[in-house]
Amino acid sequence: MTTTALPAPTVLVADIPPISQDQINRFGALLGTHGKIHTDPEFARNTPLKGVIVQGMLVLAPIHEVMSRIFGPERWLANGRIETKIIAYTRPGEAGRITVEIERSDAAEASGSFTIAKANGDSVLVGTFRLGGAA
Amino acid sequence: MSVTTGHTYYDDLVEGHAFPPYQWTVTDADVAELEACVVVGPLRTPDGTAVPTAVPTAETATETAGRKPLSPFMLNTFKAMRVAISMPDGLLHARETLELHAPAYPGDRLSLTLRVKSKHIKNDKKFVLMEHEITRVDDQRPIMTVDRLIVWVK
Repeated sequence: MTTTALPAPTVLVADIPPISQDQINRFGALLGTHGKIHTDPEFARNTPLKGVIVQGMLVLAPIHEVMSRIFGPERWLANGRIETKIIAYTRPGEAGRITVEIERSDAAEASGSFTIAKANGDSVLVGTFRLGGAA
Repeated sequence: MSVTTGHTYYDDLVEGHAFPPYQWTVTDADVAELEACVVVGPLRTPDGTAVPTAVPTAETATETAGRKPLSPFMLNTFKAMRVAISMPDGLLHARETLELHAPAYPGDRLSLTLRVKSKHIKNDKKFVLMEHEITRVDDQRPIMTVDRLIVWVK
């Protein structure tokens, strides 16, 4: 399967609907990220974070679908790499947006950066990506 | 390990130590659960122009057997850490690097080897870098490597 050639630089975005406490709890149970700071609002209120925060990996997880749509899942899953830094918290009920900036995209390599931000534009997670050639 | 709490703290973790492999299988029900949690809208340009789906999406991609590959985030489990370490409340996730090697599929038997890659203290914060090597048991094929940097509570 081939990947559509994309002009670079290209900026693409995708919206993330608000993440509910139920989604946080289910994600935590599924993947072991069920710490009280994510799943126990009363406990979380009495911490320095003053409330529940969404798991960083639940915020980041949509990047898989976005990378698969842009580059094709075969290439992404066989040769993809992302590095990410969590720079702020996401609270339950907050929506987000992924912005992907493709700096290079050809048959040999694709690379660029991405940001996940809240609806008000504040970044919560930043990172870079790189893909090798098609598997 | 703390005698009083039973939790594993920064000083208990030894650089280079690898824990016994954690093995598990992702089921179709697990995939459905993840899909209920992880939702993302259509891809578009910043001005709102829809981007044609000229490539197969993760939702539509199939192998010849009709199987859809697993999201790396389905494999990026914290359960191996929870089995290996008595994690205290208050750990914070700082950075994550995912290196993908091959797709995995529902029903694959997977093995995760967890290792304390490094530790350091910066600005009085205690950081632990945990390496996760995930392989498919049947053919020993590497699937994914994850480096997870965690701020340890104390």
